[in-house]
Amino acid sequence: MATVIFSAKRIITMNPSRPFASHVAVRDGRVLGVGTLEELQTWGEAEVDDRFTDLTLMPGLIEGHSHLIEGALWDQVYVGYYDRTGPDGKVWPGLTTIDAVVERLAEADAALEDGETPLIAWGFDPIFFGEQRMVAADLDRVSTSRRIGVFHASLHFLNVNSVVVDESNLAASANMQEVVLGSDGKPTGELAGMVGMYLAMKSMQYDASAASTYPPSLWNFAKICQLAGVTTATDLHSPLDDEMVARLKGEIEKPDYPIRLVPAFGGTLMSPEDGIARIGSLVAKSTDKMKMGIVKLVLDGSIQGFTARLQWPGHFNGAPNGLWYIAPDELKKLVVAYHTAGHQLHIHTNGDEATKVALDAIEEALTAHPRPDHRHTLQHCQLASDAQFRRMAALGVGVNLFSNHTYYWGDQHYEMTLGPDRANRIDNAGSALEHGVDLAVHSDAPITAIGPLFTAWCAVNRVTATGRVLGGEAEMLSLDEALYTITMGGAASLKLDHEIGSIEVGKFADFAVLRDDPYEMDLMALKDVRVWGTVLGGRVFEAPTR
Amino acid sequence: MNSLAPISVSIVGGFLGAGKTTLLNRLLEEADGQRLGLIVNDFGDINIDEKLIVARDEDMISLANGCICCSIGNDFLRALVAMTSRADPPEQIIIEASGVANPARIASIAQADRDLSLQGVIVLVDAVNFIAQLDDALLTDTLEGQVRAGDLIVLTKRDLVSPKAISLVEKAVAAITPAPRIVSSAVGDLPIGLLFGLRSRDRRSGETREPAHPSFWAGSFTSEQPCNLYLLREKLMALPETLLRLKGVVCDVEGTSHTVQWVAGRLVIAASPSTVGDVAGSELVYIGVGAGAEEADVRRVLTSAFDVSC
Repeated sequence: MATVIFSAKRIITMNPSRPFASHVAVRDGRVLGVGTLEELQTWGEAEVDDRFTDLTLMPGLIEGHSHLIEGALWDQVYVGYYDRTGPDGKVWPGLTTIDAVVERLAEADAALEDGETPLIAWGFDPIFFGEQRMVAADLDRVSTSRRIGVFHASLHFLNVNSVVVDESNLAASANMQEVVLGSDGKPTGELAGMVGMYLAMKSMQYDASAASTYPPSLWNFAKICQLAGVTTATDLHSPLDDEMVARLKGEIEKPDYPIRLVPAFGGTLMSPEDGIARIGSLVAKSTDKMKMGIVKLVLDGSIQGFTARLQWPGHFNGAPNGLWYIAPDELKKLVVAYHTAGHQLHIHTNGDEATKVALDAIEEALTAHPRPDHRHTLQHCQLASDAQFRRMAALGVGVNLFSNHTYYWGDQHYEMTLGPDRANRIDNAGSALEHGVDLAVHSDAPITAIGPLFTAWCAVNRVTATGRVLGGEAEMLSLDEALYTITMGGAASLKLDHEIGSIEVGKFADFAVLRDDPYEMDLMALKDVRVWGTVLGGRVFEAPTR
Repeated sequence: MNSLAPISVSIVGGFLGAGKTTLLNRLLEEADGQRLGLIVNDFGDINIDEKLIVARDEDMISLANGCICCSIGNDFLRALVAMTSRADPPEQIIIEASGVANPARIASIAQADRDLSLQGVIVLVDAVNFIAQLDDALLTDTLEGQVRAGDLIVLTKRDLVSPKAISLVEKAVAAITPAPRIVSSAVGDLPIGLLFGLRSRDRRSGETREPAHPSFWAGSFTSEQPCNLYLLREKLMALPETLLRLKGVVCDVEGTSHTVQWVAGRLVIAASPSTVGDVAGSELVYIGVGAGAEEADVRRVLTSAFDVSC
């Protein structure tokens, strides 16, 4: 089998026994060796590929908490506040006024051929517009005949135009918390929670999670990853029925599909007995490009949505405590069932009360059924205290922190949801490492954009959108730690650290190819590192540039 | 959105173990030819006679008696949209809220869609375990939210606890929500037909139906007088708090029919989709909770709303 030796300006290997090198040899899709050209040529005949000579190689980046819905949304109109790169490499500038949102929607409206197709947009975030809210009248400037729905960044709010308001029963539902009313007592077209999601599905026939497994969406998702240097991504809650697995594999197994996918089975979608049986069949169907077997459980909601379960003193603005999505005693039963069946659990906890309940459940399961290297992982886990990180370490529980929150919602946490003390401690990556907890960080795409280098920047600098710095220096990762976290950290959290996460003999030849060397940049510029493309299993994928 | 009459939606809530599944099993047994659509958390718990199943896939089971059962599966909203968008939608949809859900959130969907009409939220409270669960700081607010969402609170497992314990639970419920409509009953005793507004077989007799349960009262009201809708809206504000539900059709001075639905204080009056002279006059039926003293009050309120001298 042919051997290719890639040269690079610098190879950051994440292998502590040889952290940096100039060349990497690839054979059969795996790393044959890392070192100097002379060292690698001792393996015998090899083709030398110099296309990366002026570029930096890193292990392929790992997005340990994302959702395939990101790919489906890119078939709709992006109207977020921040710049965001589409699957084709086009940067969609952030929209900082409601007029700008209306303008982009009007362009999209004009591009639609018939008048019936609903116009769906996503990524809108009203928190940046102060007191001003988007209302139906704004969207009526786009169209008074076409149904229009604009999802907020959280996906839990929806703005609709008058066409949708008028054909619904919203006007008669003035007592509902979910329907925002204007000063005239009439619905403004802004809908919260399930009401918005329901009307999007019923009135606009829009079902993002169903669309997320269609081939165009899967390709959108993979290209978004490729542009960010990601070679392994997750879909962290999925039914994974036979039909869906076949649909996913139909695209993912194609040689030119540029990422590996790790979907997690949603552990509450059926009884644990049925779920365990399904996972058994999924493990058997796993391949090098699609690894299945991990289980996701969602225990509470989100901090910015005021649905996370918080310990005392609760929400800073006095909002009531959040929601359990699984009752605490039920969680114990689920954890015991999946734990004793030998599966790895990824448990979504945002608030510190949810984190406590999750750790209680794991401790109880471990006490009754000790099991080495279970590697159960708390996902988001944003409010964990020092004491909770210590407990995680003692229980062998890993954490995947939602570090992008420090930037996107840090100010809101400081001023509204949590107050200064607890805003300062969100996503405390430093404490996790200090206590020896396995650490990964994530974007939760589509909630924020996939970009592990940006996420690493957040964990290094802990800067909010307005420039406030959250917490002390002890919580800021060093560059070494941050780069380890978005490669080996992610790999370990998925129990794939023997296959991916470092450029090391025997592992898949998965690389992120960078135009800039993170070690030669200011730490505040880490988010600006330019990505040339990726290599997956030795195959080169240059990112499109626009 | 379709032009058919809205589909009634009832929501059954309550914490884990309160008896929701038992109630749903009774509903399926007593559907009696009516096409009910049940949206449940998990098929596994529902007693479905295998002989009655005419079709099934992972998320939906169709029964020979016309009922369909949908499991929430991957997505509750998808299940609800699928059910309401069918060519032959069910006559009534009953949704089992999850044990930790606040049923008010689900109720608001039924209120927001013109194709749906909220029949009511029934919250089951486990008489055996409620006090202990309420004392658990992790659960207090979840249980309080569920109780507040209930148009009717049913204390289940009455047979397993002392009358004194029942009264403690009743007090705890009353401390959470003022003037709750509350009954204590084993789920097996509940007058399912009345609670869910199922058609009863003796409908044509015109007799006032006698509730089969001492904790409920029910009645009907007819009038040949045209109804002043403005007056009706105003008068219905004075209905007694123990009234759970009132519904029917009224005919206004121009001879147009309107459907009236009053659920625990939420009033919706809408032009009736079937106005072509099939209803002469007005007919309303109602059900309330308690010993029955207030039935006369309901009758008085309704009589005053149809008083042409006003």
